[in-house]
Amino acid sequence: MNTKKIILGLFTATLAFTSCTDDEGVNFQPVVSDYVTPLGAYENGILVVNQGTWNQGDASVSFVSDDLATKNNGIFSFHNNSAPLGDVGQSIAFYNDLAYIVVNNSQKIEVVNKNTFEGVATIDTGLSNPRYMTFANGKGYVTNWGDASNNADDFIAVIDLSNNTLASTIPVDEGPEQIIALNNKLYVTHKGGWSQNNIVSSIDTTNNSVSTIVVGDVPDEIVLDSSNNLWILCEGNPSYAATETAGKLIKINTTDNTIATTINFAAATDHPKIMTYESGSLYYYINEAIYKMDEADTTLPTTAIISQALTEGDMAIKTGKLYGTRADYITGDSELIVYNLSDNSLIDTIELNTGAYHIYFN
Amino acid sequence: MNRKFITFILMLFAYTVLYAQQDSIVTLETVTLSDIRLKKVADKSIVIKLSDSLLQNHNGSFTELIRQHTSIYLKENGLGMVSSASFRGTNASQTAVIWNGININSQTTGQTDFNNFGLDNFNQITVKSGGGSSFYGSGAIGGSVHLQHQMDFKKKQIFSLGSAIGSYDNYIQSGNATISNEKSYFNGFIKHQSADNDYPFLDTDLDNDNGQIENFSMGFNTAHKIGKRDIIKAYYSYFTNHRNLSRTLSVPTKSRLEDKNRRFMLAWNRKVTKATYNVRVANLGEEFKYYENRFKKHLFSGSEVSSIIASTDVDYQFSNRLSIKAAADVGLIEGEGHKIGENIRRSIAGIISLTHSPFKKFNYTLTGRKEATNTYKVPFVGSVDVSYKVFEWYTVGVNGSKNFRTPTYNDLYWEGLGNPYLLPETSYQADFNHFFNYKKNSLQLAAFYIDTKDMIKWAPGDSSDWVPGNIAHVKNYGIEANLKTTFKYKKHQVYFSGTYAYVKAIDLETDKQLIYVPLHKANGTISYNLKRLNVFYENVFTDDVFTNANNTKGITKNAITNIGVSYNLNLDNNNFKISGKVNNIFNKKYENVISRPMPNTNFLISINYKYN
Repeated sequence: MNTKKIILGLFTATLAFTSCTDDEGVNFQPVVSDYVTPLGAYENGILVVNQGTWNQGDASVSFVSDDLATKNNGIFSFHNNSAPLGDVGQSIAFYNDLAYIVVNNSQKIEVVNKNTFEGVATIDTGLSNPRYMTFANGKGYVTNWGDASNNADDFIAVIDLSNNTLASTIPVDEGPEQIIALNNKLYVTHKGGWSQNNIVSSIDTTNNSVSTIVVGDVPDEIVLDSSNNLWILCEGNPSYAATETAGKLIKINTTDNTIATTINFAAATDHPKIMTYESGSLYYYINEAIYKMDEADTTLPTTAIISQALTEGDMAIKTGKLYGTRADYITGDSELIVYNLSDNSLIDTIELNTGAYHIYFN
Repeated sequence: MNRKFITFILMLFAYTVLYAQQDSIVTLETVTLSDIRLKKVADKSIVIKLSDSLLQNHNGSFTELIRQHTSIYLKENGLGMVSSASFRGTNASQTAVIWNGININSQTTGQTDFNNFGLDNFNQITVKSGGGSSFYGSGAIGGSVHLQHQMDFKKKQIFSLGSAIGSYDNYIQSGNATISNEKSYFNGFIKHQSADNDYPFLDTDLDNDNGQIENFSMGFNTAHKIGKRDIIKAYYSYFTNHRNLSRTLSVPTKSRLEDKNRRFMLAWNRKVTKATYNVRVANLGEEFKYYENRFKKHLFSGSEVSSIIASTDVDYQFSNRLSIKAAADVGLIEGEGHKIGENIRRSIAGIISLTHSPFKKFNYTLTGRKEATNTYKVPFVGSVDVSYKVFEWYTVGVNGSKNFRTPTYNDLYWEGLGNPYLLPETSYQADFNHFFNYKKNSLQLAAFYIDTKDMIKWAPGDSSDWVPGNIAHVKNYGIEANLKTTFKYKKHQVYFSGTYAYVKAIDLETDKQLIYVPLHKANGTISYNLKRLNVFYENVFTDDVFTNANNTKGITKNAITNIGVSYNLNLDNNNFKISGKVNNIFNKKYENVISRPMPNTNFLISINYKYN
């Protein structure tokens, strides 16, 4: 047999072994706005902050119009010379015409015009793992976890809004998370940062004095109802904590900062994650379903109104529509899910940039 | 399939036919091999050997060396930072790193940080493609990297001192001594490197402001002959590595990682007429401390693992055509750390291997291994390695093997999330190899297929917390080609070496390419020698890689070029060598891990003095 034939035969076998499939080029998803031309006018619609993937620097903000017909992904980059927003888009807070975008892992806040998304300022000194922001007494207040390894360096950063710089800090207990303002008072849930905590701090902004209220384990979401009561959703300690505990829904009377109502979830493995409030009703999310409860009720509803996974996401309600986000950080799947609350039916699912998270109405 | 790719293969093929004539295959055996199992299958597998001279002249990192000279893809978190390997599209814990015959992948992470090594530790690197669990245990799935210090009993005395200065305040000092005679061998080494490493991130206002590195290594390798039959050997290495961890493009950081590794091994060889005995006892220690904020040194997390590994090999040569190896490995691993608690693992493994050559030019090795541990069941693994020398210049080889990777301390014991019921990953694989050799030219071609089941993956569990499970099923296949050639004309000598890999690594659940696996990777080195002068040009091409499982995001392909020159000066027994290297000469902006830029053009000037 001919030498060349043998080798050629072996080669053919080698190539066949590596069965040839498609070999098309790579099209990386654009970070800057896709699908349609960005509007530059974002008054009437929904803003979603997309966390992006940890350490990949791909946080972004998406806009979806109220009629759901128009979508713009990556509007921050588009209106700011393609500058990336940063790493882990955490939350947005609004004050007058400005939107304050808290970028957790980049240790900064990007201040933009909320309608044009053109940059106004960057606050990047004095923050340490910033989480959420609110406004009171003419100042900005930002919760900060500090270092993960340090349980004694957590604080509220006070921002001077005239020049967008750090004015002072208020030390608080471990893991301050969501923050809400009522008159000249601030309420902060202490989720616990990288561990678990179980308190709500109340801060008097006139003298920066801090008092604490013990609630359930891992308090996260905080809303005000129609009578200015605070509702706190405590997730309960997770399975990897020393002792796993059930979630709790707690109502705090803000006139004297006492607990008015405590509603316990049944099983230690019940960890409610998301809560929102609209027209006298609380909506919360647990075990891949959304439940609705009247603010006057003292027991939890037994049946869900919507069965929907919102893994790693958030929800919000406006004009009879419930909006939820869902994100998978491994695959990059990320979407805004819209339900009609009159019949709890799914209206639309809109694809967003990686890590869709908090939803805001502009 | 891509047309260009076929052309490339055909060109390689044409080249081979052109040069393929009669020559013999180089054998690599010496009595002083420390990795005694390697020779059993090395002649039937795709193997790249990096020589002593290449190592001696290399003042860069282990990562750079492996990236430049093999088809392994390395994910480096910025220059000098944590660096993990992907061999044939497998993940970082599926490449085994073997130090003088002992598997040294980290017990906590299952992988080896290719920037956490002192290079003076060994004088030969052998990179073997394909499965090797039968001999080396856990993690030898994509392939294995064998680090050896080869010793011989020739009379010599070599003392060398080196110093190098590079961009961004990179300073390296080293010393090395080797003294040997007919009965004894001793080698000692010491090396220190410190670098500010604050290179600018191209096209931004940022620089690598938290990338400082300082490392120190020392150790010895020694052997003594006792009588005519026995050799006692000892190996010791100590390495500390203090690194501030680089920021990303959008995440500032103050973090720091301090690693400490020590390795000690005693070995005894005895050779009688037909039998060889080899006993080794090693003590390995790995320790790390991670500081989230390096200005607060009292706050850190870390772990400490100490292992005692012993093994015995008995080789018996029945005839020229038949030999048998029986071996046992015993391991005692004690780990303690933040989030992983305190745990002890014990293991014992038995290995039987038979090499038979039923007729001339044809030989095969059958190997089987069974391991028992106190934590999980390890499957029976085995391999078949066959080689047939079709012509003097052409050998064909086939390997088939079953391999495994055990869960790591993190997978098993991570506080609240670790899963003590995890099974080891198992993989079946096949290689089809071609070896062409003609004088100093060689071409190796391999087609490979790997099917890995029960792959350990961290994913959201029942309570949406991330937990590890035996959930993934991955198929890898592709081609590898390694070419080496030398041209000589009078005093001019040109040397070329290159590798190319085409790798598909498909998650069967999604049918997508795994993250951080380039479809094509190629590298080449051309070196020109004229008397005392050497000039070289090297290039690494890495294709696009995906960074998410949907394959919608990734890092764009890049080709990085380095050049270098060196000059030797000899005065009696004294040798001076001056060399200079320019890395990334075209000042390309590139990343190996997303959002973590690699350096722009940078320089390194070295002076070496050698007395022999």
